[in-house]
Amino acid sequence: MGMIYIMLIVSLCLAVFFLVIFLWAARTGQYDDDYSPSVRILYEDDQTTNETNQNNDGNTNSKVRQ
Amino acid sequence: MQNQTEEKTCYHCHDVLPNTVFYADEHAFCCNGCKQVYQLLSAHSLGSYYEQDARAGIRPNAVLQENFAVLDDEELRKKYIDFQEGSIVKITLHLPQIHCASCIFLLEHLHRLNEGILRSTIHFPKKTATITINLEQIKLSELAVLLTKIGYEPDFKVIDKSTGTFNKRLLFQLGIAGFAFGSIMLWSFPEYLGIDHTYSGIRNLSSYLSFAVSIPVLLFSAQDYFKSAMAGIRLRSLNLDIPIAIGILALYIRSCVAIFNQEGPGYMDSFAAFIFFLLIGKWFQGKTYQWLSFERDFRSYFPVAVIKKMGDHTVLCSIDELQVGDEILIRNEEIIPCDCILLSDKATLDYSFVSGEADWIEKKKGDLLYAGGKSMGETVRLVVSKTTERSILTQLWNDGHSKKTELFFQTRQDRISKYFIAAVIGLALAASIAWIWIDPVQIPEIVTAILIVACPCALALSVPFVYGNMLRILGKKGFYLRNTAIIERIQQCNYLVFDKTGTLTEQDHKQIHYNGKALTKSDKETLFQMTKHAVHPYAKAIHVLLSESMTDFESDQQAIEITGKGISMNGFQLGSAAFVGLKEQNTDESAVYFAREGELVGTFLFQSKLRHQLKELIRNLGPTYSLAVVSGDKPKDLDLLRTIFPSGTEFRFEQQPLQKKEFIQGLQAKGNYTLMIGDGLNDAGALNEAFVGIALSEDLVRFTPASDAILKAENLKYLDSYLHYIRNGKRFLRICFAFSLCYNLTGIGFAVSGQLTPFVATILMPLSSITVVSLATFLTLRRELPPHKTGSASE
Repeated sequence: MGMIYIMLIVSLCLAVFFLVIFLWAARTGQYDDDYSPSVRILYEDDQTTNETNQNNDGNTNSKVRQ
Repeated sequence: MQNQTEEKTCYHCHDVLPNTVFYADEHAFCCNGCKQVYQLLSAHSLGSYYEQDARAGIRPNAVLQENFAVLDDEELRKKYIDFQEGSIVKITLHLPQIHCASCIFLLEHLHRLNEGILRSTIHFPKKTATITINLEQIKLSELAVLLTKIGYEPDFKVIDKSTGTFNKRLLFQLGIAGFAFGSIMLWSFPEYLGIDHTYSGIRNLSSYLSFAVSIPVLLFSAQDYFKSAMAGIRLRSLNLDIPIAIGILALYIRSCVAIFNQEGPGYMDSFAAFIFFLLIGKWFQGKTYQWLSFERDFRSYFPVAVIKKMGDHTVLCSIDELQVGDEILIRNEEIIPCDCILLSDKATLDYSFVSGEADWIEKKKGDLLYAGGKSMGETVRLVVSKTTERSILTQLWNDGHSKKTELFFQTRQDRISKYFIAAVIGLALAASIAWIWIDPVQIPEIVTAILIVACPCALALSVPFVYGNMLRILGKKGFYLRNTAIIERIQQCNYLVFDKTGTLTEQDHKQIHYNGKALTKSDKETLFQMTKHAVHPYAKAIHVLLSESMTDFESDQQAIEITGKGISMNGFQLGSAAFVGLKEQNTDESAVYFAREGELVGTFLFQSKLRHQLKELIRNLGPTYSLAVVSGDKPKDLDLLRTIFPSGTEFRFEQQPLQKKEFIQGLQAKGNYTLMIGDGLNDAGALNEAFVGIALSEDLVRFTPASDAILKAENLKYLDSYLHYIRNGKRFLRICFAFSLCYNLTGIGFAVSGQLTPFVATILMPLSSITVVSLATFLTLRRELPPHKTGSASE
């Protein structure tokens, strides 16, 4: 049963860890805009060259369509 | 059928097409963003990505740049800039046109259109773009022009940097409550499974841990409920937060007693869950339309700066710095920022937004022009006679904002809570009296148990979820309410007051009726020539009407236009009654007379065009509401309005803004709850005075006066459905109340009989909350509101 003591402490530490992450995210405004990041992640890398873009254009099309 | 639906949605993002549609390669797009992305991509596949000029097809517009000249002035631009270091500038612009994924895509790739733009980030809910540019490569005014050209005109008037703090605090509270709820529940599991004194070590540890994490929940997450309850007690008005606060305290104290008596963690899990659910309700209800401004002041209607003439050269001057006696220039379609005297020979002004008068007004040299008018035509020169602060319009506005006498408005929830508190206290007393005979030792336990289960958690969740959901659904349909309290207010309204110009009639659109002898082909050709180069708006309108049925042709005949009077050509005359030589018969300023050699051929009558399906709307509203129309315009449309409004309707014409407000005051003094629907500045006072003020907006981008709700103008025809839906909200709420009371009664059954264990409470409380929340969602969703996604909505 001694194990339970450790588990209790571990669960507390885990929960505190997630709480801190949540508070940090809320503080830095990551919940302010819940839409544009979902679009942003679909961009092709800006720095890629013309040629690579060409190869991917079909994908881009369907992706940007939401 | 397949084809039809395809026609009606954007080729790129599949949104329903709005009124203004963009075309490329025979495909229709909902916005320039979608079109640009399509063009980028299609050019892309041809291997010429960078050859593609995203700005192709749009003419450079020098005038446009002048409009944004304020951004190039070191002093004036300060209030817009977030940060500047050397030539690198970061600026946050409000772009009201942002509405879809393509918009974000296009605007975050601005650096491909201009090298001077280093970075741009979109904040979608606020509809703002934060753009970093290098001033050496692109001026701020050029940036604004670029944005305007690609379809996102910056709106400089409503940058609000302070929003979001309320939301953040709520998120913190929610996070901490959620953390405590999850942890305590986990630690309580041994308790649920029947742990007893044999393992008192584990039991005590989990109890003390629960106690530790519950402290921030009580002190931080729940503090608003205590504050509200205290305020309620102090003001001697019972609100729902009082039984909630009592319940929370009962839960907490009882649990603490249990913990320190080493009897397990008590009801700490219920306590944390309770706060967590309540906060979720609050968060759900707190949805706001960050990008809409319900509180605009007069400043946001005026331009930021005007051109001031100083000797030979002109400078840009902020309207706050204008002095009496300054000479200013106002260009076509610009708004006059202060009361002025006209220096140019003449000016044509559109005051429809300010006074409700639909016709343009001609002013001559030396006339006094009031602030707020829109100059139509050539650039005019003016001398400032009163500063903006002291202009008539500004004073009217400030008057309109003489804070609505804070009606002591009790929500339905608060009215219920009165009975609720009485019932709970009565029950607790009765139960304790009964237990004197059974087992007096248990009395404190029974009383706290009653207070705990009677805590109206589900009841408190009903309002946020029923009304919060309605708010969202209405928002999707183009009817934006400021907050959920407005829903209850609208339910009470019994008197609808409409403004006429811009509300019942469409802005900028007029119908022309022709009375008189039939026009021959040559008459038409003559008219066509006469009006070809005309300046007067009526003549222009006649020309547009004629050009629908005939093609342009050249003629050497010269038409002579006498400003403000009429046009003559080759013995034909077109203009006012006096101009064509008629005795002033029935002076109607909205009529244009057409005469040949002094003999009247016919009359063109200009009539306001009523909004589409207005007749049906009024017919549906008539039985439920008393109706009235107040207008700043002349009573020329009275006959037209009489045909669609029921007989008891009150019509008031030529009403000054102050009179409109007084009319509303009069109605309310008689015990009516008025709902005012208007669109212009002239309605601002009345909108504010009314129990509920709804501002109509053509495109949500244009300026609207301060109001409780904003309705898309094209959806006015559905107002009856919206109001009906909102009235139904009462019933939805009642059903939810009934359900949550059932749960409370069940709980009280357990409590009175002394069987309320922490385990029962843990099950009962979330169960009731979840039932009420899903019930609220189901009830409000069930109704189908117009406009529907496809079909009749986009005719």
